[in-house]
Amino acid sequence: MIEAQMKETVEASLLNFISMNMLLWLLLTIAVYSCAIKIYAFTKRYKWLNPILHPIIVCTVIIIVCINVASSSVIDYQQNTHLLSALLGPATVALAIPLYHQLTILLKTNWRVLVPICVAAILSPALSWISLYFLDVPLDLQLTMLVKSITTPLAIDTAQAIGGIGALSAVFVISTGIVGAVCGPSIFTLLKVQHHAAQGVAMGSVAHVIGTARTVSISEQCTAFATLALCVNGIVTSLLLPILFA
Amino acid sequence: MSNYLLISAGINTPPALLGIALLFVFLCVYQCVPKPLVYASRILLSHLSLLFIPAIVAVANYTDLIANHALALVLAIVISTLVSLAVVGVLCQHLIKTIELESNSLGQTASDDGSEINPND
Repeated sequence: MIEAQMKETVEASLLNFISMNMLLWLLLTIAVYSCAIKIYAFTKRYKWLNPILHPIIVCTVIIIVCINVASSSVIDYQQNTHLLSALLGPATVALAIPLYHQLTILLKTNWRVLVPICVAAILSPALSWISLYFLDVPLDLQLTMLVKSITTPLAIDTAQAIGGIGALSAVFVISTGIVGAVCGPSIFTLLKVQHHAAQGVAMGSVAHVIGTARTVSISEQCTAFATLALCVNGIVTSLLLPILFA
Repeated sequence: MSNYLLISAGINTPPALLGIALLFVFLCVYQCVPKPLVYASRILLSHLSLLFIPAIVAVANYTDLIANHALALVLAIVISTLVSLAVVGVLCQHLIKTIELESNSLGQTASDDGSEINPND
């Protein structure tokens, strides 16, 4: 019922202020997104291929192609889909809920599980920054790379706050997630990290949501720790970076 | 009411981080997640990826920049991701072992979700 109501209000607002164009792009985005989800679900059993076909990647590529075919510009597209971006703020805030659900784990480990998460929050950006620094890459790219291990909605904001490029940060974040999700399990076998909680913390704090999605196939405990690590790392990094670089 | 809370929290905090903190404190005080909030957050979180597609599409503007530094970027991402995964995994495993040793008699390990712990270690 609430859904029907929401649809009505959305439709009403759509009719009120927008052109055909806006409706078209919105519908297209949602349609492409649902197709991308279908593709993702369909390839679920191929564990190596699956992270590469993440809905965001498939969807972004298709939309960029569509924009080019329609000879429209990215700025037009963003204006037309403003409704979606407007929801991003509240959605990010909703991350507090999974964090709250993992609170029991925090208490059970006497907060000590925070140590490796904070190490990850510092190590991962530091390493990427050092390698970029020596490879002689422009400053705005270096700054953007710093946010690569936190979840995308926080990363976009944080990157902009420290003078990086928001859109690019999303790309780095997703590539990091894919590398982590694909290579993570083999690294754990190689280094004999057998504890599921440890695997979860590493996956969640380094490879954020995409890594966490991968842990679903390991164990429930692994996912719980990954979710916790993901939330905490996101918060720690987006708190630290603006303080250090603003 | 909770939807209003979500939205108001989202609006008065540009970095959204304060919003997370506020909601988290609210939940800790309230001791449980109110029903409408569960509903609203489930929709938002499950389709989080859809919401930032407009932001990511802007990457089409930076293709030159990426292409110019492709090798460096890929290297940086791969190296730092792999090394951090390894370090954090090993560190966390040590930490969990010490916690388990300390609280062995109570059986209160960091992991009693009912899922099995690897018997090899």
